[in-house]
Amino acid sequence: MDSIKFYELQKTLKENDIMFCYSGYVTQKILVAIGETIKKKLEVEETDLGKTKKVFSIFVEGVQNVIRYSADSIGESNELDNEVRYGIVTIGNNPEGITVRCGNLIFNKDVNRMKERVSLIEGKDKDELKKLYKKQMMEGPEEGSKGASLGFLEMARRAGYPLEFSFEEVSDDYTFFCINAII
Amino acid sequence: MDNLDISATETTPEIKFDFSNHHFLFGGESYPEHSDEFYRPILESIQQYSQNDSNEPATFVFKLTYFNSSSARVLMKLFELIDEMGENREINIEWHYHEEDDTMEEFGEDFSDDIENANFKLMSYSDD
Repeated sequence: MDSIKFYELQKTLKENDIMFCYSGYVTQKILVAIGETIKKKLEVEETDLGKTKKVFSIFVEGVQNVIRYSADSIGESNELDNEVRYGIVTIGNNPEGITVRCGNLIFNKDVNRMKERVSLIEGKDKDELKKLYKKQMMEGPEEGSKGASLGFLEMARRAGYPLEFSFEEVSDDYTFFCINAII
Repeated sequence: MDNLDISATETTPEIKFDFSNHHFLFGGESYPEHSDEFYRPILESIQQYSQNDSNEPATFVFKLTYFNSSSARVLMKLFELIDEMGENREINIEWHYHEEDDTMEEFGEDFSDDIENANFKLMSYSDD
């Protein structure tokens, strides 16, 4: 990337009120390091504790979702797999509140499964989400999911507005999956 | 039973179980990559303790400040175990949360809803 493109990247982030951006390989260790940075940043800005906790919670679930999804593909180990271990996370401000956005590539063959999981949450109010959360806790992790499928529900419960999910097919193999939360 | 004393890490809570004094403490943050692995021996030790004949009152103190959804799932299992114990002995549960932390308050309320055989106390604290 030449320096002009690099500058444009920074400018784009600034113009969208992104205060923090990480793009790359995600692991639990990286999650902890970024999480600490976010907490400190919000503390300095005197964000109230309840809100800071919600931002942190949504961030953790979003990134652990990317880590788990990536973990699912380990074993098939080929060049394609390396792409899905990369995620992008941004924290920003908008007029409604603080935004947390997580994105990663998923295989096109997994899009339907992901859409089904997402559809369980879309359009649900807080009470419905709470009931669903409890139900999912009792039922245990769903088939083919390495971790609790509670992650999206947790994010939905902590967000101040309904979560926005999007799927953009970017090639014959991949779809860019993105979750946007406003707290 | 030997006491269980696990120090907190960045992503796992402090665990202090004093079996002879029937006192159990969970404190800090919990968001390990593999919650089941971390909590398995902890749940097993409580299971083992619950099979002892003692009917002394037991106290479970929760001073958790954050946990992720997979830890929440384990906590639910833990509360089921604790509630079962309450059929045969007095069980006290203390759920501490910061007064501004409505997430931890709500979790405390959610868990307490399913407790039938134990005293569940929600206790808020402030910075001062």
